[in-house]
Amino acid sequence: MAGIGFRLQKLMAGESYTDLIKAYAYSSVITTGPMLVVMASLIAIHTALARTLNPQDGELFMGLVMYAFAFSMIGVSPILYILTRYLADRHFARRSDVFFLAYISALLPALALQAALCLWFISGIGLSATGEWACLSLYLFISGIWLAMVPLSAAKDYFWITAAFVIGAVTGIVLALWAGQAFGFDGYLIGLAIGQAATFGILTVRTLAEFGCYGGIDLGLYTYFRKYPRLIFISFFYYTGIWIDKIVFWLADTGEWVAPRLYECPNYDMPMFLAYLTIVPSAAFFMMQMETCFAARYQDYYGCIRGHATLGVIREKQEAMTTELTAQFQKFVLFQGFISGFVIIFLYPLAQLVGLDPAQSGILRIGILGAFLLMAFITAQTALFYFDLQTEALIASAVFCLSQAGGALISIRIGLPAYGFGYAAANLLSLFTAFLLLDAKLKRLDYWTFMKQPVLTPRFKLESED
Amino acid sequence: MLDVCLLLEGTYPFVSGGVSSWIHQLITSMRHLRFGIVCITPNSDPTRKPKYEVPAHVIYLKEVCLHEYDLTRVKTRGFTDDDFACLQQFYEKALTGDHSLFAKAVSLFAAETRSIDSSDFLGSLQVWDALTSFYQRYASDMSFTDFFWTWRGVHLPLLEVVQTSLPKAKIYHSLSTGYAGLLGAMGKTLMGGKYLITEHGIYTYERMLEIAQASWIYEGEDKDLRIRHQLPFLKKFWISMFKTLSHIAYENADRIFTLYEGNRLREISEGADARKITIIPNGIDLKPYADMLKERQAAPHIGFIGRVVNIKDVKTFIYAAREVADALAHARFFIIGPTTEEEEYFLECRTLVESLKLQDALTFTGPAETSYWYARLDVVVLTSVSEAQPLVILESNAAGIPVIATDVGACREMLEGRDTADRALGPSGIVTDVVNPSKTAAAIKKVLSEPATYRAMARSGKQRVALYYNHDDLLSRYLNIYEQNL
Repeated sequence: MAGIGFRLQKLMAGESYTDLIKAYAYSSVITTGPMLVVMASLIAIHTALARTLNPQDGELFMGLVMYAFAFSMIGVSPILYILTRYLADRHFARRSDVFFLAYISALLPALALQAALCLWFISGIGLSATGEWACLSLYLFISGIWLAMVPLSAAKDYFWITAAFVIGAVTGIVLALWAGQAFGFDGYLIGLAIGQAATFGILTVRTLAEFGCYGGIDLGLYTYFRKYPRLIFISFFYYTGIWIDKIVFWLADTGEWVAPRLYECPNYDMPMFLAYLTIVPSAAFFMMQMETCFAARYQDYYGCIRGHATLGVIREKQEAMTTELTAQFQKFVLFQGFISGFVIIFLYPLAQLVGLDPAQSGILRIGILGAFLLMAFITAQTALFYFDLQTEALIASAVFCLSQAGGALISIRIGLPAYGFGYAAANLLSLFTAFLLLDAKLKRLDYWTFMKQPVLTPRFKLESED
Repeated sequence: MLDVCLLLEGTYPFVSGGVSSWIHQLITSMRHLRFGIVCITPNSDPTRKPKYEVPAHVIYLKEVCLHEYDLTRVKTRGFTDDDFACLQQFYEKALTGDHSLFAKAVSLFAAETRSIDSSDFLGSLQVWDALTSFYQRYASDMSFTDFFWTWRGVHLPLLEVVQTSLPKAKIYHSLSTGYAGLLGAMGKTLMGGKYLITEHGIYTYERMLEIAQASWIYEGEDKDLRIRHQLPFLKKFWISMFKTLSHIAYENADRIFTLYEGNRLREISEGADARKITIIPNGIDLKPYADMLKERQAAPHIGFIGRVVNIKDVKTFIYAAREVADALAHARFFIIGPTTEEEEYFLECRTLVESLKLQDALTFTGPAETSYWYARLDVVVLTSVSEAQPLVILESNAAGIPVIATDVGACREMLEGRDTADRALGPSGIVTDVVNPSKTAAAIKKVLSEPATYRAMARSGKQRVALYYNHDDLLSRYLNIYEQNL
């Protein structure tokens, strides 16, 4: 019989299956790494360098370094997750050959913008020409480091990331001490900048060695700004949120004028940086867990969907995955709870060791609790990334950023005893937000996995193509 | 308001073929009616050209593309729990063959009464829960991913169809069941028109053959390497969807027309009410045959008219030719029709002709003007293993040529008569078994060696075609039916 009916089409061809698989998982190094690196460096620089200068220069030096870290991070943040996602997708598509040039195409515009920002900022401070140059290069190298981490962490090359930071930090501090003795204030800046240059250089060279350099500038990266606009805001809010409470303290009445446009609040800053250090062990632990145990369950879940499993099996794997996530979260709470508790018990001897006054010790105590909550928030946020829940991650990031700003303002209004409480409360609120959003999705993960798959229109041969 | 809205699937005016030509003749023979056409195609195609010139009294033409999924959100009155319950009950009942909730269920998607659009339906948590509980009940041991994509693949085109807004018409006439039948049932229940079905081939049966052979439907791991007697679940899923569509169409149809008895029985077995079915065969235009002059040949000319393809079983004709040639040495055989469609099969046939030493007696003419041959042939032979209602029998009979045909499709009723009056005319040929060269040869010899039988068959053939298969009469029957329902 002619004509009636169609040849039924290959409606559910293989390509739609691959769509089921979240092509990537954000490396948790990207979420936790930069922040911890900064805080550790600041503490090290503060203890090793700032105190060898005269108090006024010490404050200026510390302020410049602090601002360099803070604004380099906020400045590159809009492109940071875009690059992360792009490289993860390329990695999944077995196209790591584009890594180096994609990284370069993120780096160049980011550095250009950062350079303009930095030049404007230092123009009014009254540094020597050498000092300004040193400042600018310090700032650009640090900015570059944040981006240079991305390709290597996509390849899970944690050894070289760690090595680069340790080598850079040690070189920087040693050179700064030596050059500082020899050339004064500018010497400190130059030494430190060389250290950061070393880190940046090692990371970039490793990326080049690992992936090679093929073809021209990769423009695919820029399409991701359009494809995933939410990622721009997620990372911007997140990294701004990390600093916004400090910035509020600098700019409010609590800030001390150091130089034009440069304010500090050592009473608040130092305890906060110290508090961050307490989560280093659990961050390392968490990263390891996330990328081994949880990632395996995660692969299992999506793997069995691809492997023609029954719904019963799929739901078992889902259960196993969420159980694993809960178990890791509990382990984290116990582990970090123990560390935080331990530090709080021995707070006073420790505070005396680093030279904090009683008021700062009080801020440190609540800061430690806040950092604990922050790490819990980051855990939930990373899980949101794993399931590609970008809208949820954006909401959580926005809540994080706004509540940090609000918390800091309220703390300042209440007065010294409340410093740090705003920070802890903001972290708690963000944790709740991220947790509730994650929980709602995970409960019906099978539904989200299947029903939200995009509908693909099959491509038919046109008559003219016969 | 249209008089007749034709609901077509994959045919007129974009695809040429038997059904499309039939539709074109139907429309052109009724110029005083206002026609509308809703044609269902897989996809829109700006490069496609219509194969027929659509007459001016077709005042409405709409294309429904099954595989261009429109997920734009539209305004609905909201999907209430009652609506969901209704939809769920419809599915539950449909599983048991009861489609009484069709009208209510389809109205949830219809433009004026819409409560849910495609996006909502495909993303609904309630639908997901219903889907998974269906899976747990009936298919819990099979790949869920494939089940899910099949579910979606089945529903995406259905959603396009049920959301189609039909033009207002007095009669909705679909040329098949399936998606077009679904539109017909909607025309009946939502638009309040009469609904007629004409099925040339039986839709469900054709889809069944197609799906059974489809390689794109996941069949599961073949663990034991045994031959399966049952179709895999997902194939059954597709087939039962098409069966459901046919059921719904048959149930809502006011009348059903088909070409011959075999189809009628198939429709009844697919759930059509026997009282609704009327057989209206395809007819031929008798004018060319009225004054055809027979050119008597010295040697008997025996013809096979049709494409040289497997399904026509040309080889049986060739074997039979050998047997006939053994008895009637001067007989000539002609295979008249295109040979390029299945080249390999044609080569096999040629080799067979050579190995049977028939090169001199048998000729492949290639595509040819059939009227030339109807004037010269003495017997026409049809050895097909599958046919519907082959026009070549009517044409041969109209030309006064007895036909030897296998017992497939409508062949027997065309040669021996369908009802008592028809049978009283006497046979106009001989019906044989499929793939049986000896019987075919025996029949040919009988017709050629008994002049009285030959004359009787030639006469009754002419009478039968004139009485029952006159194209104009058959079209006027449709006109009558339309007029009864306008």
